[in-house]
Amino acid sequence: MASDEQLQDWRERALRVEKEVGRAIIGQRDTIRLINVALFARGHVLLEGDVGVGKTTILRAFSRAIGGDFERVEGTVDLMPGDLIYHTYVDAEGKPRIEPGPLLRHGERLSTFFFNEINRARPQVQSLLLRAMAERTVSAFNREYRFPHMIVFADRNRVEKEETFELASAARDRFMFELRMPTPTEPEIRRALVFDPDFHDVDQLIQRVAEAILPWQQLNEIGAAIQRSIHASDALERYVLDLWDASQAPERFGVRLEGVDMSKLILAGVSPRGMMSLTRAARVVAWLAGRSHMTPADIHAVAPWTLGHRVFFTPVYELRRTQLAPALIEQILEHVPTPR
Amino acid sequence: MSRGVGILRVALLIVFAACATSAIAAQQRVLQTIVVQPRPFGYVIGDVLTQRVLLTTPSEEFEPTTLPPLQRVNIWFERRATGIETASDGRRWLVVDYQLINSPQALATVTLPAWKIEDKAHGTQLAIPAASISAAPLISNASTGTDVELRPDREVSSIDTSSARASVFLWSIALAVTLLAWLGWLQWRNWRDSHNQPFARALHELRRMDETAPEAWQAVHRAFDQTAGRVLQIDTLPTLFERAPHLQPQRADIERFFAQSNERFFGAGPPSNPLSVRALCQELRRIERRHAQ
Repeated sequence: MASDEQLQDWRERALRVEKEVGRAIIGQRDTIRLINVALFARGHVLLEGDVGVGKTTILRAFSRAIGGDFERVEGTVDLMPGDLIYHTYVDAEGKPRIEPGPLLRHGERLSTFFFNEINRARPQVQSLLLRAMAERTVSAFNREYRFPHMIVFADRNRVEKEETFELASAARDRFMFELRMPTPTEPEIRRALVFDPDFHDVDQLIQRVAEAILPWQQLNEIGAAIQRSIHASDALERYVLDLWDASQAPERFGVRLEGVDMSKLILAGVSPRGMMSLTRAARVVAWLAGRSHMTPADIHAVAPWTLGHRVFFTPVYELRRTQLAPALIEQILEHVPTPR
Repeated sequence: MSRGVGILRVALLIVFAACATSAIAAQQRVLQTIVVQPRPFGYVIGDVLTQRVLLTTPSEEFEPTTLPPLQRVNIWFERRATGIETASDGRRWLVVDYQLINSPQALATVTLPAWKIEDKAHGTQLAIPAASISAAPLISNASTGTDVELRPDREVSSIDTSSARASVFLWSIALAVTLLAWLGWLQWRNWRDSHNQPFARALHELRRMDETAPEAWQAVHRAFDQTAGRVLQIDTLPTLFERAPHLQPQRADIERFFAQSNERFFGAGPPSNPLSVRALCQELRRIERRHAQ
């Protein structure tokens, strides 16, 4: 079991990762913190935002800071599951060759798998990815490949809808966080992004980030040690369970949304896996804050990003998900009492 | 017997100046005036007699330097009151009341003594002559035997007090109803406040529990939540002061409450020097009541 000194040492490294990524990415402090939290909570991250806000850049910066092997796949409508597993080509001697695909190529050294524009990939590809995310294994060539250290970062373009395949509920549930990356609003940051040439060359920008800060082979152990070391009181457990109940029947806690029949809003509340993700992430937030116990503030810091995409609405309200989901989670956090 | 019954006998006495009677006479002139003596008969112990002396003489005004002292003047009489009255004709009278303070054994003539009064400013004086008064005992000597019975008290007819009693009863009922209504209103207001106003409700709950109990802290939390219109945590406290700026003076104590509550419910456990949630709640209730008015 990790000692307090080890946890403190890892905490400093975790904070250094944020600092290093922050050298390449400006105006996205919250997003950087949440991706870091997911990293130590060993959860996958789906990043959503407008075109060109820096989704790919931030994920590349993290990949560099984490260390280990990095692989990147572009989601396209003609991408097939096999394309992730193997790669066929004719070599220089004219012989057909089969090589491991991007998912298998690095073996257990794969620490970051970056799936760009995941909603352009077909459901078959998404299904393959589901297993890789949930079990960190894939069967191919009559054997099972394991990626015990792999974290999947995916991004999704929320502007275009043509030739895209919306992720299934089960697929979304596999992601610990579904983050919305906003366009920076602070004038100084906007000015720097537009006029500072340093931010125009992405490859050079990524080079600013120190490499392999974390002992990536130990991240699973570190994550487990964090989970064991952060205490959850009875009052906090009651609070989390109340939040879970509220995600299934928000009207019982006095939650109201304008123009919504609350009794007909929810099709399914947050899954057990979703609540696990919530507490895992909250424990990491507490750890990063230097505490040995969770508080409701830790829950609040991650709840919108762990719960929002895990509440499923009835069809009549599903089309308004973009507006309703954040409002619902905000209202739940404002109405579920604690301590009680 | 009273002094007002009967016919007053007016004795008109002309007082002459006597040149060689005294040393005062050598310095002061004695004026002539009119003295109205009291009725000379029909008095028993306790009766009051009035002597009136005209101060307005035909020749000049007489202004007494001092009024005669209120004291016992002889064995029979005590001077009880003196005063100057102005009659409707403009003349001024010195009015002196005497009370008969002794009772003779049988009908007897007693003397109301002579006396003088001076006006030093004008160097004049008035001499009031003595008067003979006949006084009688309350009962005769003949009836002092052992078989004499005192007359019973005069029968006094009862006054009809039924209407006054009915009025008192009605007013008492009205007072009781008013008091009951006031008490009822007070109770209703307290009940309403304890159900509607957050800190009143919390204080109501705190009365039934130990203030160090978790339930007491939770009751105060709910009051804060209701006041802010949302569930409050230490990081969302600014919402409270935006919604209820009147609580700003207690900000330090409120922040201390939330910090200690955080430790108590989510951290290391109850703090070593916990604040008094009852005192905090009472203070916040006081502010809440004042703000609601």
